[in-house]
Amino acid sequence: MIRRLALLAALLLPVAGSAQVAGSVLIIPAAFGVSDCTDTSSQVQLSWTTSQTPLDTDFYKVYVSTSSTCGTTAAPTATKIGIDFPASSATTTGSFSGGLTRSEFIVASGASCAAGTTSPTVWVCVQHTRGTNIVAAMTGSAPLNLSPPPVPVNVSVEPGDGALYVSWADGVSNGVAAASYEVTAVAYTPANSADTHTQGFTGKVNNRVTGLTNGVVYAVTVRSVSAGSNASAWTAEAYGTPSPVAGFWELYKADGGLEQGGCGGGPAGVVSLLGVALALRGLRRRS
Amino acid sequence: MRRLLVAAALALLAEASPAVAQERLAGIGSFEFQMAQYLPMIDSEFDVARVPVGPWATSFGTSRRLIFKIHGGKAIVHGYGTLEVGGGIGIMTANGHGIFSDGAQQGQPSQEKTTFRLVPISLDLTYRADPVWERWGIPVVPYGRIALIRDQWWVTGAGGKKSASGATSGWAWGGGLALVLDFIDPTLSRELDRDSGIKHTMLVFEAAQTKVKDFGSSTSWDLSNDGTQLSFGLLFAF
Repeated sequence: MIRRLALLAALLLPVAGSAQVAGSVLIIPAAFGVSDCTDTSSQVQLSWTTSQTPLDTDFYKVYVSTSSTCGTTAAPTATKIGIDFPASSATTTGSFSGGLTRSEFIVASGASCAAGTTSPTVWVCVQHTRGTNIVAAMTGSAPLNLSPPPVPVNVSVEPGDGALYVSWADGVSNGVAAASYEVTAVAYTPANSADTHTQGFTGKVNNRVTGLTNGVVYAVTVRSVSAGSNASAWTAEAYGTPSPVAGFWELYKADGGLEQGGCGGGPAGVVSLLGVALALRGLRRRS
Repeated sequence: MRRLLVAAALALLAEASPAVAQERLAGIGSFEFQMAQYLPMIDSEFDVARVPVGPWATSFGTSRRLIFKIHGGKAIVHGYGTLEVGGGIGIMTANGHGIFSDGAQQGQPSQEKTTFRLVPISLDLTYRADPVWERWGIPVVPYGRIALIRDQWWVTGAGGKKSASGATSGWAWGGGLALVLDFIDPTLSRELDRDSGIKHTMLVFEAAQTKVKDFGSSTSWDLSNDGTQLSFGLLFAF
């Protein structure tokens, strides 16, 4: 009996596999943040590739929800967005853009932007339909990050020449990773809010903030930003004063070095090179 | 232990010294990968009483750097040995830290990098005493070399900004020993020749004196190596 069941399963599996071919949907942005909940200008873009060769009479139906359910047997319990997109036999790819803003897209999915709610995932389901049949289904997802990453800690500032070397460490993890950092240096002494420099950095936690004025004390703060563009609070201020630095050449000249730079050598060098070239030519002729 | 090593070396040389003559070393030419130690004499320009620690030592320290070179040569005279004309190009980079010239940390090293990059270009003549191997079968072949040198250099300071660049000319002479590796496995050597055209492979040890100061110019710094320049390389003869 078990043998027969196994044989039956083996025969049915390929059929089931061909009926439920899954693909993926690319969502731009790859992650949503708190700011997207109120973003009424940026559009969401979707693109996908169907695993079945489309006919000109086929359609794509796009659904969005907070559920990953997406099959080829029935319409998912999700909001259908836009219209049914006609497929083209010329290409297996399809796309959707310009239909919904980011905030409309999040509302359509049913995800809540309310503070304190658990960060959900927005799922997109695209069904490739032929008549009343669904021949392929594709899914994609993008997290809706409602929490900011932790505030950076241990900020330290070292002077550079017209610059400051700022380093920090990630704060205690709250489950949201920092995708990038922002560093702001504001002129502190003498105070000058117009002399403010904000620079973004990705990956590294020690960076060089440039464009500063030597001799001015700057107050430096750092914050981390998640993939969904949620920013942490700024750190407490740390202070640093850019100072002029002499590199090797400046030291050499300060010590009274005579080298001027440029192509030296004078006539002696050129004459020597010419001499060798002529001598070699003579040798070759003789041999 | 030392005696054992000497005995082993003698035994190897004896083994590699058959009565029959060896295949000629001289061919079309040669190609070589080389590593040379280097410490410029830039600081020698300054009076120690006035500048106790020169700008090179302050920025980059006093350890010797490595120059990585490639060198090619074409045999032009075959006779009692081979005369090759050749040229080479290399690269050396020294990274250090700039010094605060003002402020509370004046005189202290900063986090700002300063870099000296050197690209030595040479045109040279090499004589190699091939008969040592070809007639006597001794796999250690001496050679001598004279070269004209053109050192292209670039200096960068804080923030990677270029501070200065230029070129300094000079000359060098030296010599070395080439250990012909064919004697270790002649069959393998012949296969290498058949497959790639490389007739001989040699380990090269060289000692050289360099004089790179624009032939004595008073407005050039001294890029000669401090002391005898030792180098090591792998040479392929075609």
